[in-house]
Amino acid sequence: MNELEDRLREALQRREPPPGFAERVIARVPRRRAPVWTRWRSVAAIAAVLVVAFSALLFEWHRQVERANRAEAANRQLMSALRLAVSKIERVENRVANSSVVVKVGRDHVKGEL
Amino acid sequence: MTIEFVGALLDRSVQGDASAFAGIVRANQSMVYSVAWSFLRDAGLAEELAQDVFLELYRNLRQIESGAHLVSWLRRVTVNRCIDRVRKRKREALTSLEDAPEPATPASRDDPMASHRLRRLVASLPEKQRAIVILRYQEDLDPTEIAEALEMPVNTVKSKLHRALALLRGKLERREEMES
Repeated sequence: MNELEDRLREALQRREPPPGFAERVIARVPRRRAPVWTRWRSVAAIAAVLVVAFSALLFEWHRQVERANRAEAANRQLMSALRLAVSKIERVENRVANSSVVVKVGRDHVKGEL
Repeated sequence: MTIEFVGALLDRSVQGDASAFAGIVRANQSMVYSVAWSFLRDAGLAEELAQDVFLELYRNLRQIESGAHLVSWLRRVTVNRCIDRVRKRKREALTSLEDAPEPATPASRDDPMASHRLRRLVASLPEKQRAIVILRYQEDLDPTEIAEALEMPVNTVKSKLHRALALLRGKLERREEMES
């Protein structure tokens, strides 16, 4: 039996695989996906950028609306002031028109209506 | 390459270090490929099977506890895959030992063809016996280690090994008688 066992040991020696074997195995190894927290980190970063950009736009829009409101209020105030002034002028004009005025011209008194 | 070194490579591979995994492949490729080759006696099939074994290892890296566990895992998975492969390709399998043609010339130790013929005879053994003979004489495992690798009782390993050797010896002796 010993001779047979020796012959088996000789016949069944290890052999190396063809060259490049390890490289071919590595080429078949699936690329490992990034850990979950890494994937969520990039999603969170994108979301944060979007939130900041949206907030900035909202702030700017709100500021413009406010400015427009203030301009409109100022415009209204100006218009009412103008209307007031015009009505006062008209009242003065009417009063002048409806009243008689004595104008002294030299020594003669001229009486009449304007 | 020591078991400790393989263990260190294992730790780095689990962390995702591809070069460490390549190191594991290089350290064990000879064992895995040789078992597959002796079992299947087909270089292409042996390489394909060996690659599949390493890919399965990659998928199961986290379950491997140590360098020694890794080596025994590779051995066990390789043998099991070889047995499955042989069972699947029964129709194109090598002829059984009883039908195997006698070697054309006496198998003396000086004969360069002797090892080739002996390997053919081993490859024609039933799957379990073949696995035991390969692990015993190629991997130099003792019956206890073979029993662990194949998940069978030590006594079963011993009896199957004894039967396989008797079968091989009978075949060779018949040949020598014919020659004389």
